[in-house]
Amino acid sequence: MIEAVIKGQGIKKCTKHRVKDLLKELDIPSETAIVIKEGEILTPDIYLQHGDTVEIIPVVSGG
Amino acid sequence: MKCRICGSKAIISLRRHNTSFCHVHFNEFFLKQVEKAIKKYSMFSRDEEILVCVSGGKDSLALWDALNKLNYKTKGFYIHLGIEDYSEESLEKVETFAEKNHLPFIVKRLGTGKTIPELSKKSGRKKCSVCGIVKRYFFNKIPYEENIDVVATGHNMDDEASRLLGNILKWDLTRLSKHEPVLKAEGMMLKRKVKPLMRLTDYEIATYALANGIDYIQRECPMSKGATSIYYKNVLNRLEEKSPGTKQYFYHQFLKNIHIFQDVATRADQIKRCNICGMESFSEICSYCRLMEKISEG
Repeated sequence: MIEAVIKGQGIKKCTKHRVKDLLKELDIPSETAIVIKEGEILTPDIYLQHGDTVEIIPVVSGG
Repeated sequence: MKCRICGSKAIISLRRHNTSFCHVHFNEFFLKQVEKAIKKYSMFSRDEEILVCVSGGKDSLALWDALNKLNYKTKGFYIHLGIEDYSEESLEKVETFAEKNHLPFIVKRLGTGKTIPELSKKSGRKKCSVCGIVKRYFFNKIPYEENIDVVATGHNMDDEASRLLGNILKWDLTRLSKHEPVLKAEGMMLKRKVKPLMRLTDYEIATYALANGIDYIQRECPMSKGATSIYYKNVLNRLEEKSPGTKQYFYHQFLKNIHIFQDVATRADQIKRCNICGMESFSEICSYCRLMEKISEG
């Protein structure tokens, strides 16, 4: 289980371990949020470990 | 995922370019895209001073950072819109950035009774519409007073593509004809407006800001909840997910064909002086003074 802390939206538990799949599970299009673990920006191919916590920062802003 | 250039660990994957970059090479890519937009659309030269409109958000601070790194002469401009604690927090972000980079900036505070929530309430107009009138007015007035000819905003490819979608859905030919990354100066007071981030997306700009330690306000403006522009962006991002490059193609192909709209759009009226404030306008009383009249009547 991965813990996803979505900025401004709370915490969600996810079953998928690859960043790309985790975003899909959360129904977040891949280029609308940045996934960070321990201060490091993760690319979609990265596999997370069971028990990891990631921060998800939405990037879409009002024009 | 490895950087396409040096093979070290990537921080970003750009599906629309089918590539990925490490921190160093992403910075290079980013600055190159900004410079490319500036040159292609003859936005400004290194001899000119540029007023960078900063909101404390990722786009405007990343723009200011990029222009500074590219050795352009800049001055920041922040309008304190009086939006709850959001305006204070965003001003702090601007101040911190400016101090860290030793950059000059101007702050314009809207007077008592003239903040965005108050103007909206008194005039009965939508908050985003009132905000647009106020910003457009001061984006001319302040550079005129400061004797600066170029005004740069942080509008990016997502902003432009979503605005384009909105204008196409309404077939607003006049707006479509003016939808360019450079809005030419008119008269003495209506300054040249430029959008150097027009080749970069929300995702790329946020990555640049986070990777480079640019501390920006991450929460959305509380007034923008339910804004149509965000809805259009979400629609376009769903398309992009299925077919990378869609947004870029949509916006850039439009720019290649914008002359079609410019040929048929209604020509703007003659430039005049506002009877109340004296600023140049396309009507006898400018939109800002009309708004002020409306709230004083109410």
